[in-house]
Amino acid sequence: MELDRRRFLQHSALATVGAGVVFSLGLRGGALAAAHARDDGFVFAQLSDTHWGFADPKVNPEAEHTLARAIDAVNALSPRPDFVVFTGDLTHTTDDDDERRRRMARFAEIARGLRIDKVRMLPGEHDASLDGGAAFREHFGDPHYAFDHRGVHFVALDNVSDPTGQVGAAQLAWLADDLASRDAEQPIVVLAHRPLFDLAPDWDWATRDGAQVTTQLERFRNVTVFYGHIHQEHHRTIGRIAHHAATSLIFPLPAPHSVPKKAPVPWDPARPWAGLGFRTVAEAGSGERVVLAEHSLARP
Amino acid sequence: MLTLASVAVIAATSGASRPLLTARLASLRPDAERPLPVAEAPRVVHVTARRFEYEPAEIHVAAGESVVLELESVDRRHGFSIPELHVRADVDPGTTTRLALPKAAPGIYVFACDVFCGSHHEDMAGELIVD
Repeated sequence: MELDRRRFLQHSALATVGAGVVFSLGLRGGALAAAHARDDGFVFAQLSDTHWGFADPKVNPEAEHTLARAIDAVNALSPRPDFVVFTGDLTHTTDDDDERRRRMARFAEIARGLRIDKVRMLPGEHDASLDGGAAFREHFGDPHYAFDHRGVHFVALDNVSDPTGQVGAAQLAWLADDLASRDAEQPIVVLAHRPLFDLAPDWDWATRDGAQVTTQLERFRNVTVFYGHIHQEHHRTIGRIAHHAATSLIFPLPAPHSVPKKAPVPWDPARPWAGLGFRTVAEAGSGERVVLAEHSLARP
Repeated sequence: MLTLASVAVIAATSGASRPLLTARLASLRPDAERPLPVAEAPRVVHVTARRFEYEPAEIHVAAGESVVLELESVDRRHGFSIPELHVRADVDPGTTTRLALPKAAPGIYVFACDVFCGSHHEDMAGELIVD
């Protein structure tokens, strides 16, 4: 959809008033961006870590309704996102291959409630690490891919089908080939499940060969990574690359190394759905700036 | 008594010069009866990995002590990683993996499984305690 300058700014204003946090990535410049400058832009939504099939009432007694609640909230957005991306852990892991497929089928059925034409999926380790991504491929296709949208190049990476949490040599070669002919001024958005940097390796919050990914991205002026896995909003800029983690849609996790042992934050009956939500990203078509808005599922 | 010059000749003319030279030189040493110093053998600690725990979950090491872990899984592939010390290994069933611990300053170092192994993978961790 077309998002003109006025509506882009409306998104920013809505984000500020209605959803809480606005995280501006600042100015984007460069010759190519200037050449393509025009009054349009777009919004996409990032949903993550829905863990369909998870069951623990102390952690989320509304587990069966949380995804639907998020979908209702996305459908109510105005302006409507051009597309939605789920950054992994669509389902909660199970040793039973048949049950994994049932969970994915049910997740896909609920996700079809999104009144958005394009919905893109990435696997998380709960979806793909026990079967090498087989069930995910059956339901959602390739776990890594690239696409372009209004001048922005999107790359979706799979750092979970290998249970050691690596992208792997074959995908690194594919990435190098995908990026080889691109202008360094073109905005690049990377989608992944695990963080591509060592956020907290002792909590398994890392990608073992993530540095080999970021090294390939260093020559680009505007690179933004959106990921999940850590069940909380988190922002870190390393070099030119901005990394943004999304909240979960099943349970929050504590801040990195804030507690001796990582464990889900229990459900607070006084503040149901606190810490759960999703994000919208407003990209100015000119590539001038990006605005993140965090949308909580909790009642204000 | 052999002189240093004669030792040199022996070394140069012998078909098996190096062992002969070593033997002759050893006989010249005033402390020849004293055993040569040898590196202390590392202490071996056996660690069993299973979903979703390590046994033992606490490994105590004295500062400066040489320790080798012998890692074995009883069910499936796991990982053994101490990110702070930059060491890791895959741990497979039916295979003993030896991992030499680097010398570390006193403190507590978390080790964890870094090969996704199921629903409580995130809980599979322990502590290396350097006293």
